[in-house]
Amino acid sequence: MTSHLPRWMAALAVAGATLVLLPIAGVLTRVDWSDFGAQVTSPQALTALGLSLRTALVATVACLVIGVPLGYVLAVMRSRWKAVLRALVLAPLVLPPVVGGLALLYAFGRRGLLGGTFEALGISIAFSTAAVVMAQTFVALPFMVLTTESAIAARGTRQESIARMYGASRTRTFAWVTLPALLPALAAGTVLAFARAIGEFGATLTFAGSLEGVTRTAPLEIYLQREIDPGAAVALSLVLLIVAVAVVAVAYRPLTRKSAT
Amino acid sequence: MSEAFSFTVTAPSRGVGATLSLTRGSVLALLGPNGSGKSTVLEAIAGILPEAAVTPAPPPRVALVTQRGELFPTMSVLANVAFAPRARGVKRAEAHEMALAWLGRVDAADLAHRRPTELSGGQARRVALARALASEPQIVLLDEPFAGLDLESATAIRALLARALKGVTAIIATHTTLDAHALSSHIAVLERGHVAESGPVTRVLTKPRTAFAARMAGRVLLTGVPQREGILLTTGELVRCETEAVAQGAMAALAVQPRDIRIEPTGLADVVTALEPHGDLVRVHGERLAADVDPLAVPLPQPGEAVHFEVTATHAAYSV
Repeated sequence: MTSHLPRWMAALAVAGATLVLLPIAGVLTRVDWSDFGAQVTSPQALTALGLSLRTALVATVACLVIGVPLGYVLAVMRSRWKAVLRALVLAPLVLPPVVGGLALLYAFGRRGLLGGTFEALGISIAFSTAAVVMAQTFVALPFMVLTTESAIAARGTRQESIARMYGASRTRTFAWVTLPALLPALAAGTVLAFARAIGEFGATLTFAGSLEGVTRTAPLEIYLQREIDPGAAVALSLVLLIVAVAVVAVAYRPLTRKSAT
Repeated sequence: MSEAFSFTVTAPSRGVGATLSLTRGSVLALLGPNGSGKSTVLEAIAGILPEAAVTPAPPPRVALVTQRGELFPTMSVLANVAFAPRARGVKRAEAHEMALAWLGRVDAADLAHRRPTELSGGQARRVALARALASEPQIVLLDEPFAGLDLESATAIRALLARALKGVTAIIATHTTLDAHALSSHIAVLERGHVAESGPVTRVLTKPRTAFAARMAGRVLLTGVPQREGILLTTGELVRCETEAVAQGAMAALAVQPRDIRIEPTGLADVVTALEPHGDLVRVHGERLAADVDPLAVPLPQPGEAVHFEVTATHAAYSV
């Protein structure tokens, strides 16, 4: 497969890999290995890591539950507004996370669009753990929507037509025919969404704040420690790095490979 | 008992507007060349073509076996065949038993636990047929059931179909008269989305009324005014044949097989349009006629060449 690669492209690929790998190497050089164990198991670090893991998992499930239907709708809708709707839904992908956080505040904050409604129900979302999950879901959702949409668009809806011909209801058709065929794509989308959620920083800080044990996830803890205890920040960074790399390496497979079998 | 009913299928975006008449419990062959709209008609009746309309609405249980079979790739063969019963609410174990029985009827019980990707073309076709029959359809639609199969599998599946379709209302789309003869009692000839001619298989294939149906039947249609010694074509040429069967005042037609036509120095003037291999002979197509020629005995004419065709055997003309 690589045999047709132009030689100049190989050189550029090396440049690309260097850009990514060098900073990672930089992190490794700054880790104080003698103190590493203590730094990542400090109560503060464990609290932040635990919160990150829990919120990212919930956000990933939320992405599955709402992102798959959204991707399905985008794949099958035939409207001239489709391109606009897709661009809007995928906006969090290109929006600076801080802007995302502000937008969430304007929608769900105390004085946001729905703030009054939630207030009346006695619910305050902003600056709670729920806000962390919402911020993570907001930024990670496009990954699930994109992978679902392209998987459905690529396979078409012919199998679904046949299932309906044989008398299967829409829900059965989805559960028995669509979902099993989408599994490889969903796995990829889930991994990407989880990786994005666990690394979320800007929108979380803006919309959820940095309250220890409640909203201070690992990235926020790193940002805080960077001033006070750079060694602890580096140690925690390495843990995040390992989690992200491990998850992607184990679970992420290019889509086209598996769908053929 | 032999109740007849008909459907009109319209799909303007695909240039299809066809009315098909079916007899309950018997098989209709939908004969037409590639691109004549056979698949569109079947998919419309099966209800999987949103842009098509069918009036009156077909019965609720219609099963289409598409050309590629299109089994559900994520399920085992057994689950594929059990799909329709399960969708109708039959319990899993019972549905699997039914599926096994249907697989047995198409000689595919040993494939039950395979994946569709592990099947040969002929095996996949059998399983697709079992899946369709297991849905207990009121109408079975088969789209080119032998396309892409080797001769052996095609023959085996044709025999199987002849057995399985006894008493079943079905439409088989095909481009060969073999399938029409072997499997169906009635035929509809489809020309660019419209029914050119329809009726009992033998009538349509031996006494066609349209040039298109004649061509699909592998014959040459000559029409003209009946005379005592033959029929007089509009070109003023006379073709000798028996005309006793032609009704008084009707036009006469003659459907001649190309094997009964020869290229001679004199006869019906024509221009060669194409040459086609036909067993050990070559079928020389003209604009009006065609002849099967032995390439070892006669020099082959070139496309564009002017030739004369002569009808050698004496046929019986019929009224049109």
